[in-house]
Amino acid sequence: MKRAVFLFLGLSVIFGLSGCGDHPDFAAVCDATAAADRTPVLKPDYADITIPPNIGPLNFVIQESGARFFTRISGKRGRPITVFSAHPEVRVPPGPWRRLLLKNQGDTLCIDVCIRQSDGSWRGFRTVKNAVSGDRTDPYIMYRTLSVLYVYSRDLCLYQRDLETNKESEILNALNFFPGCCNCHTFCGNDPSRAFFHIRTQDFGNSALVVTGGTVGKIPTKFGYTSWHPSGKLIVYSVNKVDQCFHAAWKDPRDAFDFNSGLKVYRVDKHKIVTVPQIYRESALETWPCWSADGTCLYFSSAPLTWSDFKTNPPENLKKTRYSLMRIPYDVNSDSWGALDTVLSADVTGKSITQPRVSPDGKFIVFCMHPYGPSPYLQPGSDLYIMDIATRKYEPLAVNSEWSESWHSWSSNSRWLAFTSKRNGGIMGRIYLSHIDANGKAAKPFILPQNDPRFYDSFIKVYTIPEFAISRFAVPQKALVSAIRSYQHLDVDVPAITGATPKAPPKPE
Amino acid sequence: MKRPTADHTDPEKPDSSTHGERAMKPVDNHWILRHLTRGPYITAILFFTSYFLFTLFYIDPRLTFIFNGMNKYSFVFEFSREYAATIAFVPGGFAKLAATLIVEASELGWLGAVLLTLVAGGLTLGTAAFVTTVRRKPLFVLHYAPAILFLAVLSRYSMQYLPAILSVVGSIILAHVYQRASGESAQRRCALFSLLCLVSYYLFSFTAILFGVLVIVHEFLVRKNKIVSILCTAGVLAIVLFLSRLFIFPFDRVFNYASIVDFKQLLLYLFLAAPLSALLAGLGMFSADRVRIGGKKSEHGRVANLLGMAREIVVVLALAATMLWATRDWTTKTLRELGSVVYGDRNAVWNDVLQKKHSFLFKNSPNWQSPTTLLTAHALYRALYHSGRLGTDMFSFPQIADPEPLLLWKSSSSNYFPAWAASLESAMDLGAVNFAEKTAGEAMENMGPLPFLLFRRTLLAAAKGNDECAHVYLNKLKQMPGYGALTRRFGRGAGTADVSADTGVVRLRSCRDTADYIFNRVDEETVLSNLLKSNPRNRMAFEYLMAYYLLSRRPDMVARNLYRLDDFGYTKIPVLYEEALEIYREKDSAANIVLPKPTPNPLTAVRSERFLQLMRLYETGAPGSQAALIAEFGASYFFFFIFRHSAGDQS
Repeated sequence: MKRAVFLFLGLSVIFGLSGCGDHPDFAAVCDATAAADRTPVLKPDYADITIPPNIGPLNFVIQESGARFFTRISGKRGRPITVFSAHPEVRVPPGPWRRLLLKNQGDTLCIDVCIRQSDGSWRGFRTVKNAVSGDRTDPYIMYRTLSVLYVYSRDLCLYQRDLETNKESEILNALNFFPGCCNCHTFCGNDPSRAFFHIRTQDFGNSALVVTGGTVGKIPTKFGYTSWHPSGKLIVYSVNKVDQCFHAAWKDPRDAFDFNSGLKVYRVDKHKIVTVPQIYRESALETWPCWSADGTCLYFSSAPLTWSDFKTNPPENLKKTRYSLMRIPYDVNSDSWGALDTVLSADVTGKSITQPRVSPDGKFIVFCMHPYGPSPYLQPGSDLYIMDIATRKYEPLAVNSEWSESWHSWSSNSRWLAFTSKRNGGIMGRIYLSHIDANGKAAKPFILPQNDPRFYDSFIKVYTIPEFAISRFAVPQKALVSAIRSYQHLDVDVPAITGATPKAPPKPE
Repeated sequence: MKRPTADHTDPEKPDSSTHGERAMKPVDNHWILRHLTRGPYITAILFFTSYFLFTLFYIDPRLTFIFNGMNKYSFVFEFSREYAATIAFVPGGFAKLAATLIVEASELGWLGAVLLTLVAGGLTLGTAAFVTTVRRKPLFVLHYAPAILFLAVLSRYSMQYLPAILSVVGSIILAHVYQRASGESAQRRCALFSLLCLVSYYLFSFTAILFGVLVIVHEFLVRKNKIVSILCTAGVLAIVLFLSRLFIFPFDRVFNYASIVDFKQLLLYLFLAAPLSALLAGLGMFSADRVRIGGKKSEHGRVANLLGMAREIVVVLALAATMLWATRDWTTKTLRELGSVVYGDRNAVWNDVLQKKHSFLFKNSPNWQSPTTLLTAHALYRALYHSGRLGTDMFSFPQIADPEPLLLWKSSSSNYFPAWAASLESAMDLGAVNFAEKTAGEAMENMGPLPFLLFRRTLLAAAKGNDECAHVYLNKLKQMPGYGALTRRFGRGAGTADVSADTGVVRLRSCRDTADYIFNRVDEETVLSNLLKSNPRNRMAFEYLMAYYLLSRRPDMVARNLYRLDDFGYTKIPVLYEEALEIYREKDSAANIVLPKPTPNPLTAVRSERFLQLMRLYETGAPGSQAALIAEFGASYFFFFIFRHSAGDQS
């Protein structure tokens, strides 16, 4: 008898807690509820977006008042997912989500929300419709998180995220070589088995880590922004003498510029750093290199060097310094460089053109345009533009906001673009993904999904440099840290002055 | 105080099954012996009451709170999954959590004092229990020694050592648990030792070494011939823990094997373990036996024991005196004064700031200017402004002809943490929004996401119309308990609150710069003038600009800006401005100055004459003329202008 009583009590508690008795039939509820003439407000904004068929669950918060929240996610095919809860957070179960997306590739995914008011009545909304693209995205994305940076960051970390499960793991935590910084990371194509990291540390010096086939090599010199040649034989990198200044009345007080910069070439196969006169000119600032998909030409940004005083901050003509988009042909077989070609002149656009990234199919190039200087990520006016390489016609991507968009990266199939945007308040960069169709048209972007739908509400760090990857970065952190802290390095032929420092300032006349 | 258990077979010891006091039956009516009967209780009450009062009123735990983050170690508690993970999955996380709670609670001075006294109590009880069990005789007063040493740490406000100290307390208590629970069986002792060692490692990280050493000391002194099994267990455990730390448990977000911080901690604990265990073991050898009133000791033994107690008392008193003397040394005193200044500055307790003696300002003036004097001067300027006295009493304290303390811009860029916080406050007051944002950002990079910084960043973001960003900071702040008042300021629930309607935000927005310029290397004049251009009603920008001209010894600019007084509704010209005007007229009588509606006080001209008289005497070397100058004009602009420093109001 006692046992029966305990069993009864136990089952009552379990059912009571789970709220099973309170679970209405969604179809019945929705059919009986008059839908409002609007869609529900979801945060993050996952409405009218295009999503990859292999993305992890898009968890969200229903920003409507109510006592109970009933959500149904459905497509034409597959079993709908229903989530009923007393709180507005909707956490979508990963398994059913994955199956639903796979069955509805190229079709529509609907989100229906019904809310029970405190008086017991139900309120409905128009269906939120999202497109499920037939184009898969690369399964991984690498990025950095750091605090809003002024001088240095003590909590900088490089992560990789499995986009299919929303699982995040550390690649490199800068606390391991604190005080120090893990700067830009680059992959050869989108293949993380050939990776490149730039490291600055106080105790172990500045270095670059070259990861090839699971082995980590250290180059004891400074690298700036880098781009691997598709053949993997060489890396072009910028050498920047960077400084920062602060604005009294800008939306973001920070600004950064190069006193001087140029491009250099690191021959991975020969462990040698070389200078190419065409891209390392005394009279110009060159930066943001990017190889074309076939490796036949190098795109980069370049501006005329208009100051001779390399100490006064800011330099005299900083606000007039606008970078043009340039390219230079290259033949990997003969290791020969052609003549410079201006792809898009800043004189034409009236803006600075930086961070060019060529799509892997070789059809498009996406770049930032902003008022001046080389730092789009600090300029609220920075927008993303797309250019058809064949016709050289360019237009703004339909992903821009009033705030800065920058740090974009293509997926290996050229159909997805990841970029950071500061649209959520102007300071904290977040990663957004957008589908780019065959004509170069972008769909409405959506924020990188998180398991906790309220994650971004209190996350005070910034995301930068998202890079798609076709596979998991497999080198353990221990190996990277050991290389950084080690005194052993690759025997690289570094030119005495020019390898580690920007070109010397031009001599005054 | 409850006494630890003692060996039943030892005729010299009190009965372990009862409280010591119950076991002591007085047979002698001598007052000393009567006192000694109740001694442990009375001594403990007296000691800890004094401890609490000393901590509350002299050390002032509120300063501990203020110094949080000022030395690259910040303790911030928050209700979030990430924070819980750093506590639960990191060895020593709980010690850090306890330290954080103590530091956070110290914002309320009395609560901080209570908690710190409890820590001292734990240290004392643990020491007494451990040593008494080892030597099988209770201590008289020597077990108070570690608590007194703890005061020395507290008086230095070096809270980065608090987790280590809490770990030490915990390790001693765990060692005593081992003493009580270990039996005679070697297997049982090894098993218990392993279990407690793992618990100690999990709770206190490398302080587990101290636990291990204490257990070995205990085993060595109590079971001399049975120590091998414990030593072997300790060796195996050490290897297992070290290897697990290296390879198996990725507890730490800091990569374990490579972390210099951890390595330093290891050294610290090794360093702590040796002297502490030696101290605890040594206490046993050194201390006197407690007088057993009603016992069968001879008169000679009783006298010897009284002498032993006297020896203990002398040692403890000497230690306390040394510690007290140490807390009055120059560094600690300056640190305390600095803390109280920063406290007043951050919490807008202007009367406190103004009424403090700031003895070091007078002591070293005008020959020496330290970060402390800069910060104090900065706080005094703010306090004077907010009290409406900047134009009249600015030179009532010693200062030199350097405008740096006004805004602390250069100091805040030289990695001096308190200067960052102070500079942020004045920038917020002035409405220099972007400068405040930069300063808050740099401060947070160095000091961690401290609540006062998050709150200010919320205001700044909202003032710039970045409401979504403001809510992110506010939501982060909401995860930190004890800051409800700040978040409630914006109404219920940050998600729906209208941050931009807050009065502080509205004020910042009305004062902020409207025209852009790059402020890297501009001086205070440019900053203040631009603020005044953006909002001619920015009273603080005006008064600070005038203060800048006074400090820069530019009376002409003071005179030329006097017309602005009408914009702010002054009914009379502040005396320091009048003195500057007098000096300017003295130099250039033909100067065409636009005067405000209030007319200059004719007495200022009389005072000017008197000053010149005294100066003439001073130049002739007349005895007493210098003292007269300082007494009458030490706080005047006349004096400051001539001597390039202020003597202050020494009346």
